[in-house]
Amino acid sequence: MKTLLNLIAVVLFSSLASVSFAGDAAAGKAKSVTCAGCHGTNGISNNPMWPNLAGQKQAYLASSLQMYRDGRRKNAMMSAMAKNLTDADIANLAAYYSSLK
Amino acid sequence: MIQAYSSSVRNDQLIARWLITCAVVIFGMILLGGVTRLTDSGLSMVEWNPIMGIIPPLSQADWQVLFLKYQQFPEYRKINLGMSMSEFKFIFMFEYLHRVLGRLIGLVFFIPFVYFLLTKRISPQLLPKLVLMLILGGCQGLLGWYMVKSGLVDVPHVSQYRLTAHLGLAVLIYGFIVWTALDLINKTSGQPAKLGKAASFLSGLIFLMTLTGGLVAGTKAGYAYPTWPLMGDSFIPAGLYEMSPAWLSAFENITTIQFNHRMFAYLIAILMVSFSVIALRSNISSKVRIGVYSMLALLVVQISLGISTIVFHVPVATAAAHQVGAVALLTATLFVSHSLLNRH
Repeated sequence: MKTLLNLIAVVLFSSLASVSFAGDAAAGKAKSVTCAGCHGTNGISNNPMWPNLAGQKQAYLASSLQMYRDGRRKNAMMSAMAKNLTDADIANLAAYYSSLK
Repeated sequence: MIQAYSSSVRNDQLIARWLITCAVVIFGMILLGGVTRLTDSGLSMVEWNPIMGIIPPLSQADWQVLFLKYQQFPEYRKINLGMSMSEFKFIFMFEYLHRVLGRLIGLVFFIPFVYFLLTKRISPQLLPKLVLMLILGGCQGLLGWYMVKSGLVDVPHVSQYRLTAHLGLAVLIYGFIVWTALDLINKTSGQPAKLGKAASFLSGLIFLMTLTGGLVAGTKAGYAYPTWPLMGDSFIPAGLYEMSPAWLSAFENITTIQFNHRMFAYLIAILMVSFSVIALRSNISSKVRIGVYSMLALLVVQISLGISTIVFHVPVATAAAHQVGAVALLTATLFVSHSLLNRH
């Protein structure tokens, strides 16, 4: 019985996790208009001050945005930008930028 | 005492022409200052040497020394690491030219000033104003260095407060010089003075608007929300005034800073168009009428430049034009104010 519960829990959590990671790149592209000012229209930044996002690891993008949103990472620009993002937005943006080359 | 200086229309015109020349050069200086900011060139000269600093690097060895000095500072180490000598020369050039032009403005002001003083062409009412201009000009140079110093630190960005002060003082000196020149040559009478007060109020608003523009530049807030009329997904973005205390957001929160700059623009547009409609329907002279039309035209240009700056991710030329567009709009508004106040 206990094993079965554990199994159910594992399946549930892993499916939840995959939901939160499987962003929609097209929706992310629509949302990325706000990011393009600094990170470039194709995820290539035009200023040494800001990083390229094109091809960045999806999980890293998502966790960075989450940390900016929660205040665990602080930056005047990114904190303000991440504040407006939902979990779905973050997943979509991560999917979009990681899909770029 | 009457013979202490020779007052004449000719003298007034001469002095006004000199002041207008100074104002034109300062206009160029504000443009160059904007470009220096926009190309991230301002921290390339890490020392301040008002006299000997005018000598540019003349040999490859000079350049090496300057580049090595720059490399000691956080901007190089954290942002521009691996920068080539030619890239360094590019950013150095703007800051250097900005400082050279600053000295030149000092001379363009000071030498004729001494000449007019010695030839007793300056009236007792005018003298204190000119002395004040000289002092403010000196302060502006000091303020420039005070600003740069705030960026030669661990977090290599100049303080938005000091940047705004440096821009604000530039615009203030410019406006003061233009107004003083107008006092000498722009004599009007019989204009509706109530409108003059309204126009002066508008001039004040435009000055305040340039300060909010300084905050946008100082926090690079213009890169955020490259959309218009919406800011991102909505007209009123999430996260406004969320710092504590809330008023601090107006100076340090990027969303709030850009939002305020936009709202201030709408307010000025509404007030300025309303004012113009009333003024053009009143009995104003044709000279003032031209001033009002110029003001309206510059308002349209300035708003278009502002929107373009945002939407196209702050291109240097557009953003620099937006900065001097404000000064041009202020000039037209000051002219209208001055004319309607019947000063003579």
